Amino acid sequence: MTVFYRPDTIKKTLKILGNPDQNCVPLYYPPRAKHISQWEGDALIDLSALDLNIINVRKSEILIGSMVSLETLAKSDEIKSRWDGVLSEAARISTTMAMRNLSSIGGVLMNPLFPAEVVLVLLALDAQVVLLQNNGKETRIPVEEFLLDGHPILQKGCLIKEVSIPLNSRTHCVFNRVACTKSNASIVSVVVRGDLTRTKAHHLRIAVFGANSFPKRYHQAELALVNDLITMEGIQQCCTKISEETAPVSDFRAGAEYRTAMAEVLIRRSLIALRKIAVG
Amino acid sequence: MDINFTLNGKKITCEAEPSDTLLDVLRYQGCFSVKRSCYTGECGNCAILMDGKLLPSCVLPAPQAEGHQILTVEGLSEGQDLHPIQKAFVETGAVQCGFCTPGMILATKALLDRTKYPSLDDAKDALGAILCRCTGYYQPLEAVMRAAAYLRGEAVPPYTRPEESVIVNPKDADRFHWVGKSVDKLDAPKMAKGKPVYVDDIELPGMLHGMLMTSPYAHARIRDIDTSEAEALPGVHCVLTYKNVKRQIYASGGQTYPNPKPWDQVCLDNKVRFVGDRVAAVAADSVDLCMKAIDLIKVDWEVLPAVFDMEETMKDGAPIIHDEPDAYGVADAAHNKAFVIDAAYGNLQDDFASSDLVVERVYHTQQVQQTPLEPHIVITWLDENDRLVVRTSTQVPFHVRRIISPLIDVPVKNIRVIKPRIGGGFGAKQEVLLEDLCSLLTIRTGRPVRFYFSRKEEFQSSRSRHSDRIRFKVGVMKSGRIKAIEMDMIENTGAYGVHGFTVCNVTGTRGLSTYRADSMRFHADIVYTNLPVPGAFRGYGGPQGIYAVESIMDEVAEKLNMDPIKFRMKNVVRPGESIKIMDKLAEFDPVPQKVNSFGLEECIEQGKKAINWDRKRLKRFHMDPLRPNIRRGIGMAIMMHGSGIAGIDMGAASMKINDDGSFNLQMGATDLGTGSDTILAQIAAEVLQIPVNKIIVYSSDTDFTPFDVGAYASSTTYISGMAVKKCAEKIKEQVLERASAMLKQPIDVLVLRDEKVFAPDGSSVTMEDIALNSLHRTNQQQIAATASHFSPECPPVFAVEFAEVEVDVETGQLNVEKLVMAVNPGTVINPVTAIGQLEGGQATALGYAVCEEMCYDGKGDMLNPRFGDYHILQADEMPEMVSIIIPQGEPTGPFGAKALAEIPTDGVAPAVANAVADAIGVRISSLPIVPEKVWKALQEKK
Repeated sequence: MTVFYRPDTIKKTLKILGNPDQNCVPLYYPPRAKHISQWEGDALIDLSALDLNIINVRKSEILIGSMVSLETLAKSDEIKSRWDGVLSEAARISTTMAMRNLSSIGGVLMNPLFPAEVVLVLLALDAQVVLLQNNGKETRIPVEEFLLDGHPILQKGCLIKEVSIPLNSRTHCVFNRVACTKSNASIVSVVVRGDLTRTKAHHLRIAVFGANSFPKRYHQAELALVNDLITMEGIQQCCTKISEETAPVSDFRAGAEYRTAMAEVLIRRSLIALRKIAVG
Repeated sequence: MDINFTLNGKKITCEAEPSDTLLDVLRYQGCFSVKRSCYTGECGNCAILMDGKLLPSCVLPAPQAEGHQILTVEGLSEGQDLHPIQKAFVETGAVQCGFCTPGMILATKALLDRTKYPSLDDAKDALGAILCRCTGYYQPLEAVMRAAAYLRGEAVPPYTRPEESVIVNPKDADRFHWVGKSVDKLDAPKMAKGKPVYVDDIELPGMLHGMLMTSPYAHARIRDIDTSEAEALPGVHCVLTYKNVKRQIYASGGQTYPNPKPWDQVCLDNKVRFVGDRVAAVAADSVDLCMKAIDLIKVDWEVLPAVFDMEETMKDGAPIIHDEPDAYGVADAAHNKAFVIDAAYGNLQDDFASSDLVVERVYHTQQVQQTPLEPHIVITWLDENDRLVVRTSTQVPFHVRRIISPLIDVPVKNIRVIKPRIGGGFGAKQEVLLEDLCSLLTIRTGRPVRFYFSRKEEFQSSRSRHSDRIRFKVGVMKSGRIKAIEMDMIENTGAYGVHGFTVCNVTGTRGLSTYRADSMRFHADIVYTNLPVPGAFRGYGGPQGIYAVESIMDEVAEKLNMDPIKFRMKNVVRPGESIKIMDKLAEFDPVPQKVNSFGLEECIEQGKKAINWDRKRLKRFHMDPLRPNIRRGIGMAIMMHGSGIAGIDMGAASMKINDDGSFNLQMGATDLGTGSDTILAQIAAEVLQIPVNKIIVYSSDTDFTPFDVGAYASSTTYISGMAVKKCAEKIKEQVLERASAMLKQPIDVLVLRDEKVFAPDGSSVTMEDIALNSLHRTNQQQIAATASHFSPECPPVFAVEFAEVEVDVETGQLNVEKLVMAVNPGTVINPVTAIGQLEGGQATALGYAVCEEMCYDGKGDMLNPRFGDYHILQADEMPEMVSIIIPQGEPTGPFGAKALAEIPTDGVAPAVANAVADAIGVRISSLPIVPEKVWKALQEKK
């Protein structure tokens, strides 16, 4: 790593990123930090001078700049007050306060595994990644497509500008996880979201990490909640689909059988909790 | 490139490469408070404030500091003053080894700059960024709240929690002036200020960097090794391999001479026995060059089959790990047995046969790592007399000197070993791990060399705690009387024997010495596997043995339908009784042991109150109707741990008077952050009746301090403390003799008090008068003395641990809600450091109980050699902890003191396991107690 850039405009940044003769690494710090020697490339780009650390609340969406830190997500009233505080909690549990100060939502998107809680919330909220192409044009891509099979698809020369999350006053979320200790990495974590009326959960989303090799939405389980009704039968129907969607990997934290079982337990708990919110 | 930033209020410009970390740049600027520890941003010991935000400097490229304001702890205070945050940390005993202290202080500053009224949760979140292995976080959290009060301008009362935790018999109150008082740790201010006091905090001209090349294979021979390309690289000064290093068999454990067998190590071998084993060592101008050189070393490997399972390894046909002809004292190399222990008394067979109930269980304990926040580090150089100086982070400076001498062909008299402040040891540094290689590199190059372990190497290539399989069998009568106990274990000593025998000895001792029985038997196979090497870890075999014995005793009580405490108290050894198994089990020759001081009943009484033990009988306690998936339980365990090693451990101290009536106290005793410098000074102060700050302590330097075995076996207070007391008493004699001459009064009427000697007629002389008289005026002499001490006794310390847990029966998730420990350590010399030892030990033990484990793949490579993956508990996840000290004087200890360094690590795992059993009716017989295990046990129960 021989070169360090700190561009002060987006235009300059895109030019550096688009340089075909240099592999430039934008410093989106992930919550699971890397040693400097592990940044693979010829040059580092410090993005801190680009005003990408702003949270912009619009009428129908909230835009979170790619350099907004996890600490800001954890503590900001704008974020805490929405979605039942789940995004804040996911950011808080991701890592320690020192690393939260350093790591950003852009870092999470570029490194979506361990920890994956923030990604789960973004998946559940139908968030979109706003990318700046090298020609300066903005494109939007759903987070789920951006993280294809857990790998971010960021083309050379592009920059993650911000994350867009649609706003709906009826959106509620529930977050559950299992870990050995309170601040230990999750074994399995689940985020469930619904836009709630008294009995229905429109746009039900179930996002799971730990029961597959990457964070993912359980589409079949979502569809199984028939007619968007949150009934106990509906919840049971959802849960029958879980085993079709899990493909867990055993590792030193836990085995596959346990992970599959926990996915079902946590999804069921989360749906019941969502139902309670709806019913009151 | 040039980087311009403001450092501690001053604008500076410095040169750095993009690949330099901010951590390294700050240290080059003299900010030694910023510590090298994990290099993955997870431990927070390198934390700095950048524009008021706490950031880990070890993962920040240096250029990122451009234009920013950086604050380190050096910038908080000037001169001798302490910033209120630093003051609060010192007063609350929150500074133990001090390695994490700067990070904690900066985290506190960031918090208090944000809010003047932090909640406890805010404090936990802030300190959650900084890993600590010493304190258990309670005292640091108290420091945060105390600092907030200081900064609000409030009148802050004295810090009294430690004194309140010590239940002193009224007749013993105010017996002493200095002993029993919470004196601020003598070294705390300098550590709170971030002064350069650790091994790595020096830069020597021409210093080279050393690095280890380690094995990627669990078991392999080195057919050949070619270092020519590496040696040809400009800036590489020396490469060591088995080809150019003397082959001298030894054992690396820092233990008494002669080292217990087996001796199965050489500095560099042509065979490797675990992933992470030594292959070569390099000295070069920079760390980067070392890495490049290592990449250029070509090894012709013959990969051999490996064995990792402790039972498989003993079978016929298993790969033989130590087939070298010069290994000495290996019990059965063909079956990978490093050592075998057998000890027994009584007629076991008959006693089991005549028991009303026999319970037999097998327990498994896991391998865990000490994780000192300061990794192993050594700096060596040749002084102006061409003597080798070894500045090292060690618990055993004198053993280091003796052990490396034959390895490097330098006589002991030409080696000086210095231990400055060290950032935690916990047993990992009771070892010669890098000193031999670093010394050889210095000898070969003639230059200073700095050699340290990366965090990954600290996990894989240093030391850890032995994993065991322990089969326990207990025979009892219906009355509850234990008739027979059999303990049969396999200890996995990894690739080398090191501490294997002695740790196993302690496992057996701790497993079999708490309770009496008509007959007992202990058998142990200490076996080699191709795994990283365990060694000494605080508790030293005690945690494993006590987990097993206290788990089975709990089960036996349950089967007898007896209260678990009553059952235990019916069978525990009592004052006046001898511990029979100690007649058979010992490191060298068995030394019969008797119980003198006890105090267990009082500990249990206090502990029961603190945990509210009687709730255990209530059904409504166990089940919460509002949380139908949660079950609660309370469990307990009795612990007993020794004070030093009887007949073996020895410590010594020297003192001399100075012109102003102050004293130099030189001790070989090794302060790891435990506070031993302070408490030993308190002992001396008590004898001489002078303030502690009139004693200048210097410790752990083989040229200037007398011998001490070092910091292990809970020996420092009991053994080294008595050496200090004896030394101070000799000084006192000389002082009184001089005063007698000056006052013209007989010695036996004189009284030492308040830095003076008083005669009955009211005349007095000050200590300064005595000093000046003896050094300059009349019959001049240097008032000085040396004393040493060893003990034929090893008075056991008794304690009890209680745990309250909640278990989620659907997920198996376990939350430990509360821990209570009550202990009789004899007289408490310093309550604030004592409480710190209890809380820190319990925190480590809790990690052992619920989450820590070194995990391997099928090829013996560690899967989790970093913080985060190997999770040690953080400030924001500690349960409520209550520590109660009930001091009852031990006649053979200094002012009645025994020990309390290791016993806090012994009881948490069995207390938690027993609490889980109480909650869900299922016993977990292997550690750690992770959610998956609990869930599986519940599934099987269904």
